[in-house]
Amino acid sequence: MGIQIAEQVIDRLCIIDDDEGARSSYVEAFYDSGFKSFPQERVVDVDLFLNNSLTASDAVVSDHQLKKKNYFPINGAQVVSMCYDRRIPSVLVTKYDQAQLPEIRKFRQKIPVILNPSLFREDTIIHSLEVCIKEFKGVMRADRKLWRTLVRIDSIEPNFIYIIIPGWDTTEAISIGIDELPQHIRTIVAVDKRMHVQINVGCESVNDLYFGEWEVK
Amino acid sequence: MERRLQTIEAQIRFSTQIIKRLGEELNPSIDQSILELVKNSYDADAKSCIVELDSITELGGSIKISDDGNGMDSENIINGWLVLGESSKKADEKTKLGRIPSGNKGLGRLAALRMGTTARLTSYPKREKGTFYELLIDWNKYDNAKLVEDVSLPVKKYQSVTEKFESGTIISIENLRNKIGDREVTKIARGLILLSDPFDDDPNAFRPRLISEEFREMEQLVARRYFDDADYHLVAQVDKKGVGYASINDYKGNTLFQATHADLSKKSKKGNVYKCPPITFDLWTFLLNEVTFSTRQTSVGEVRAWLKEFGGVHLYENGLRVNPYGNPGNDWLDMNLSRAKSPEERPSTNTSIGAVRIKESDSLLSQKTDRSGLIEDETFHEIKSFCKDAMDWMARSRMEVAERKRTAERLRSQVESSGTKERLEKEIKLITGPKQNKIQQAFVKYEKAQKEEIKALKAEIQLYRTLSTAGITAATFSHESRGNAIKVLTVSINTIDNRIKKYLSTSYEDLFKKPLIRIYASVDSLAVMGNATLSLLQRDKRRPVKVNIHKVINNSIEILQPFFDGRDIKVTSDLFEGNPFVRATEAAIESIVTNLFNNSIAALEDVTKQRQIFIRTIVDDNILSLTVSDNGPGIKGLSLRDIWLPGETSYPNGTGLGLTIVRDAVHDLGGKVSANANGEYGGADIIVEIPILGI
Repeated sequence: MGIQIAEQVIDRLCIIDDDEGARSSYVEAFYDSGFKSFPQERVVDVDLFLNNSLTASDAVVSDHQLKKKNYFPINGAQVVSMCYDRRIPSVLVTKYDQAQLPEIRKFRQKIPVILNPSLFREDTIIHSLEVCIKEFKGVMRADRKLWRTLVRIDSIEPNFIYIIIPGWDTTEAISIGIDELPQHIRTIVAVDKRMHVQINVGCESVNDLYFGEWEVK
Repeated sequence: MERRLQTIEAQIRFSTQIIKRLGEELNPSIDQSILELVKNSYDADAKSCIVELDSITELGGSIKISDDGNGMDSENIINGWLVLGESSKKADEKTKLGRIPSGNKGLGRLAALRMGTTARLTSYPKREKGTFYELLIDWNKYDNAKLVEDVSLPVKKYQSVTEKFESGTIISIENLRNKIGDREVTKIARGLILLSDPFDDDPNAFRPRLISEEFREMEQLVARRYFDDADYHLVAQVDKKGVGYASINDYKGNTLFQATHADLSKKSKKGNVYKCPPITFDLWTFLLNEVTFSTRQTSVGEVRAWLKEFGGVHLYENGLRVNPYGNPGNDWLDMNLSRAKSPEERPSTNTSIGAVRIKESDSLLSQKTDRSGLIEDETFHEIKSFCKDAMDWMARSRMEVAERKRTAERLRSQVESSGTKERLEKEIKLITGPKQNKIQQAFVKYEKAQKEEIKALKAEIQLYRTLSTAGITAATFSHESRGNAIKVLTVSINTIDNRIKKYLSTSYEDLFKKPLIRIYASVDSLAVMGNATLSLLQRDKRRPVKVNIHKVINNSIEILQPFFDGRDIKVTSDLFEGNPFVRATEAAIESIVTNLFNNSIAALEDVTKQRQIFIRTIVDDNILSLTVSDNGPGIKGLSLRDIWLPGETSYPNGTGLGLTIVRDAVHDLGGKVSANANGEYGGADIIVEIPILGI
């Protein structure tokens, strides 16, 4: 059966969440939908998961925080990005806070949609999967497209740097974890240094910003 | 009509004065001129370059620069070395040893050669073994000639009778016209250090040396570089069995700490051995500040410049340098990342220099085919892991010392304080007459007041600690509740709602809609606890920036709205037109607003009529006045002065800290606080006045 989304039939939906109650709730929500949803049990070996469970799925819905309860060896953002590499449409369903932002942003280029759990419904999931499939076909939403953009380092603090992206907002300093920076940038960061970075400046919220290649003059 | 009679060929010719202009006037720096000759040696692939300074503090001294580079034949001398203004070196073309040419267009060389009255060049070309060329430039001849071309410079070729020089060049600048002093020699020494490879392992490295009887210290400095200025020297090794050990020495070479294998590998290896060939790891760490360098001969600036060039950990395999490890920008041991994560007592590539030496690697390591480094296999990772373990241990050891220092400082302060008291009491006893008694009494009073203050401060600290613990616990549970419990509730109620609409649509409105709305509201109310707590903890809010006060007020109301709704509180805001801003942390403004709201929420607990909170801002003469009022019972049982004191509260479960935090945060912003026990709406008015930067 399944549901046809952007000329692709999505039938089996893999539900990944470290909380059993949440997994069951998601499965329950799809009970009478066109999807066959199934909960993913604990994963010890990511390769095994990718080569077995994932191959049997047409799409994935994953929470972000998966490691806390020793449910998954990696977090949801990375799982979704791996699915993206394999052209499996996936949605990250999470209500993350600012502390988790750098961790998610690292993989954001391969996470087309992040959905707040309060918006988790059949129609929103269908729409999100459609966005993913279109992206696989090269149709990027304007807010996801990367542009070569000038940035300035505003200040440096332990673990973080703050940058201003004049082409996006001249007043808001964006914090970026040192971990997020490419190795060759980490050693040269200095206040007021300017560089070009690939950024999706079409997005509206700071939470949706992500960075591609960093260039140094 | 014009008719050509004859064509006479002409050329631009140069007066000998131009030599002086180009040599001395355009290149006034002695050290840069000499270093230019050293750079020529570097570009000629020399490994050794000796700069000898003889009697230079007097007129008539001499400078000799000799190297073992490629040397020059007559062609190189005539069409290269003697040509000014054109460089035969191309910047993007590396030498045979892979060096990037560093010399310039020859003007520095001219200036150096002009330092004496004669300059003698002797060169043994690699391409013509057994021969050498000699050229003598006598500058006096130029002084007596009119044009540069009038002075002939014969290049003489000789057959070499000694085997002393296989190849290389010697330049002697004799009979110096000026004296050379401390400052210039120091600069020459610094320049030589910056040109030389920091470690002697690589046989192809460039090693300039300075020889000067008058400047022995500088001679030593060039030989030792700045290693003696390091504050800590980590010496770590892995033996043939894979067992690691390490020590940390101070700048005198005294051992400060020693580590066994278990100390080093406690975290990552759990006692297992390192699966790598024997290695040694040396890391010199510098405390680059003016205080530590105030008593040293070297300056913090020159060491910083050296580390900028050579800082980081270099890798040598069987004596040969392996690129790119330790090159500028290559931080293969993630030192900068570790330092960024935990800045205290951690070296970065800009504050340390090190070398990992791998011996007897027995082909365990292999280079990538493009020679861009080693293949990062298990052996390589074991080496990295050992180095990181050693640096982690070093950081832990240094942290221990720092902590001991802090403890000692606290004890010293206590002892000092007690000593001061004894001295004061002694002095009082020396006072004669009735004044002694008065002063004694005043001192006893003062001491009593001070003890009370300390007691109050200790209680305040304890209260802050308790609340911090409560905050940390709340934050942890906020993550937990928001992550799972609320998510399950939200998704499940959505499912139920949708299913009722689908299967029981006729009775949805009458039987299910209202209770469902109540559940949605309750879930929102539950979520506010987590959202509000986590919102307060956002790191960016603790960074001083331009803060729009109205934006913070509106955000706080929005976050707390479900909470207000749950307690049947109506919030009315009347904000001055515009966006008043201050430079502060958002956390400071938020803590003021949130604590004032919390204060009113507590005050309204026993109010049975419509509960109301009013928030109003007015701006007058760059002072923002923020008033939070409510229609509660007002301030009872506490004086208006005492409401700001920590621990003072009229509510049974209150902490008495909210208004104290408001007061402290407002004071930090240069403002003031005041209160009315019963204001316009019957309850308390709390008024905060803050100087703003603009609207």
